[in-house]
This record gives sequence, C-alpha cells and structure tokens, in this order.
Amino acid sequence: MWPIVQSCLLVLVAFIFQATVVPHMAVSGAKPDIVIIITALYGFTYGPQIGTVAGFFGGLLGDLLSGSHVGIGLISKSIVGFFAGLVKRAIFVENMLLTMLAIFIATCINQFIYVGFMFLLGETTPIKVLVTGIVLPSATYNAILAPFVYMMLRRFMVFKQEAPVVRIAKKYD
Amino acid sequence: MPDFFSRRSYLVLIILIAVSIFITTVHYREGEDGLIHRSERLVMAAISPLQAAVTSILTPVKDGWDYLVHFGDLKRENRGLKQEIDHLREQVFELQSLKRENSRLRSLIGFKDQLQYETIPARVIGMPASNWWSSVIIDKGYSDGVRRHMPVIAGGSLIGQVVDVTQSASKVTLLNDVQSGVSVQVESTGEIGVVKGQLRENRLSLRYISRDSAIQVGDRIVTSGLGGLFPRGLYVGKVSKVTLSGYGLYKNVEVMPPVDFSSLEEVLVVKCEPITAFKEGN
Repeated sequence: MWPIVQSCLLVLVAFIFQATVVPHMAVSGAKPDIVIIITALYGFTYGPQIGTVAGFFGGLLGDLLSGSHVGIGLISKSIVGFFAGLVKRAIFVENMLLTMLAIFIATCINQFIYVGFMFLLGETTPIKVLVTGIVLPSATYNAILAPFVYMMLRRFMVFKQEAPVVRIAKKYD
Repeated sequence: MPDFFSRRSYLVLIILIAVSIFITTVHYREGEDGLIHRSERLVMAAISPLQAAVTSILTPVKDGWDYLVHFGDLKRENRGLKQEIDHLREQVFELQSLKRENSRLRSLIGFKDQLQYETIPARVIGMPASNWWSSVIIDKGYSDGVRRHMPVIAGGSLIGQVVDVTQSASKVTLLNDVQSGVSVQVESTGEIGVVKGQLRENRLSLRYISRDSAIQVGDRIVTSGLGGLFPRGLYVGKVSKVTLSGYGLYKNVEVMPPVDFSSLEEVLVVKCEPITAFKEGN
C-alpha cells in the first residue's frame, strides 16, 4: 500500500513542479513532462499496478489544470504506467542509458495517444509536423532529464530483489 | 500466483480506463457547476498563487539571461525600433486626421458611435504546462470583474477568451489552442471564415475561405462579431500563406498573429459580456 501512497505523493510534487517551473524550461516550444517520467520510473520499479495508479493520478491532476478535455491525460498516463510496469523485469533502472531509452519510448507512447485523440477532436496538422515538432523534442527532453529525476527519486524507492522461483514437478501426486 | 497478479494488473488498468471514460463523459455532459468543473477551479485556485510566485522569481532571471544572450540583437532591434517609431509617428498623425474626418462623416450619416469597451489589465502568472493545450492563467478573477467568455487582447490583437474564473485568477484559452475557434472576416474582401488554433506555435488556420476568393498574403483578419462571443473588429492577424489543394472546396489559409503566444506577460481582458445566452453543459 505504501508504494501507492508514496507514488501519488511524488506525482503530486511533480505536478506542482510541472505547473509552476516547467513552463519556464521550454526549449523551442518543447516542454518536458516530469509526471510521465515519475510514472514510468514507478512502473519500472514496482510493476504495472502502481505504475497505472501513479499515471492515473498524475493524468487527473494534469487534466484538471490544463486540459480542455478532462480524460485524455488520465487514459494516456495510465496506459504508460501500465506498460512501464509490464517491462519491470526487463528494465534495470540503475542502467542510465537503458532508463533514458525507456523514458523516451514511454513519452512517445504517451504523446502518440494524445495525437490519436487530437485527430479524433479534428486536429488537421500533418502527423510529420506533430512528430518532429512535439513528440520527438519532448521525448528527447524527458530522456535527458530522466537520470536527474531518478537520482532524486531513488532515495524513496525500495528495490526488492525477487526470490528465484523454483518449480518442482509433482509427478507422482 | 503470478497469473493472479498479472490478471489483477490488467483488471486495475481496465477499471481505471473505465473510470477515465466515465470522468470524460461526465465532464462533457455536466454544467459549469458540476463536480469536475468545480474541481478544475479548485486546482487552479490552489496552483495559481504558486505559479505567480515562481513566475515573479524566474522572470527576472530569464530576462537577465535573454539580455546576455541577445545583446547584439537587442542593439540592432533598438535601432530598427527607433526608425519604426519615427515612421509610426507619421502614421499616427495621418490616422488622427482620418479619425476626425471619419467621425464627422459618421455623424453626418447618422451612425452610432461604436461601443467602446472597458478593459481589465492582467498579468500572466501561469503558462501552458502541456505541449498539447494552450491556455494561460492570469492574476485577475471574479472579484476584479472578469467573467467567462470575455475576450482577451495583447499587443493590440485578440489572443483568446476567458474560459474559467476563480475569485482571484482566470484561465484564458489562447487562439492557438486546438479547441479554439473564432468567427472572423477578411477586411479586404469581406469574406467570413473561422480562425482555428493549430498545435504549431503562432500559426493559425483560417478555414472556409472559398477557392474563388481573392484573399492575399498580407490581408488583415478581424473578428466578424458573428456568434456573439467577440465584438466586431478586433484585430486577429495577417494572412501569411495561401495555398490551394487539388480538389478542395476551400483555400488553405494561414494567419500569423502579431503576438508571440509563448511569451505573453501582460494582457487586457475586454469587459464585454457575450451577446448570445450560452447554455451551460451539453
């Protein structure tokens, strides 16, 4: 239970940072998404359930502040948290390059879900412009920031070494 | 056991997505006093003082950095601006004489003077936090006379409208937001169209301009007054690009607003209530 509460508290702090400081950190119009970084890191560390809940909470806060349509962020961030949790065993978060790549992909997934909803809402900007103008710059920005966010987060995270599972066939039960 | 957890993970995802869809539907259907709209105002009221504090701390730092980085450009810009001031002074003199002549002619033909609106000056305290929506938070709210749907201008042109108001802060959706749409008129040809926001910064899309239209690059675009939201004649921008697609009924027109939406600092809220009575909710 504690990791869920902890992830929600950290997502809340990330949301406040996102709403106050991040708008001043834009580079050529692209802004990082700290909430998605934390959601993905929690997914990588604790698995899909906590990743999904962290994403849901972060998406809800983000949508309530800046979303014209409350719900898109909820869905996209929940899905990202879930998929981050699914690759929990494949991502070794201490390996910074791997974490950066994973955050890059997680941000792309989040942004592509947004692109999908934008097209449903009638957006007509060519997909190439959206990818080169928004998706790739923000995913790169997130990937660069990921190690710094992780350095700050790691003191809160408890890494559990899973005990190896030994399966013994009960042939003669 | 692992299967159970894995199934439970999918169950959590499905439940949360179902809740998300429920929230989206409720948000769309409920009125302005609904639970989610009230929650939005609550979050905005809670976050706006922090945004104001951070903006007031970071703005001088950012200005100082910009000054250092763009020192050479600033000198050149300063020279250019001085020349422009001289040129504009001449134009102002010319326009004042035209204005006097215009008012004389208007009184002759019995036109009523166009209603002049009061404005409320406001400071931008919160910039868009997301790459996908374009709205800012200003430091004036209900207690200062700001109401929903009031137009907001900056640099002499329309930049958006108030969409949410708390006691001391308001949310303004900018013209470049993908959900924004304003009925406008091409000054030179008189045609009516709709300016829509695009996700690309500082480029608006002008729609429903006939393929036979004589619209040209440089034409001025102003609000048409249709729809009752915005008063007629507010400057929106200039046509920057006109293209024609193969079999389209309309021309593809891009409009360049005179202000940079990503660096707004001070704005004016125009005190005019919408003419149309808007029904809340859907």
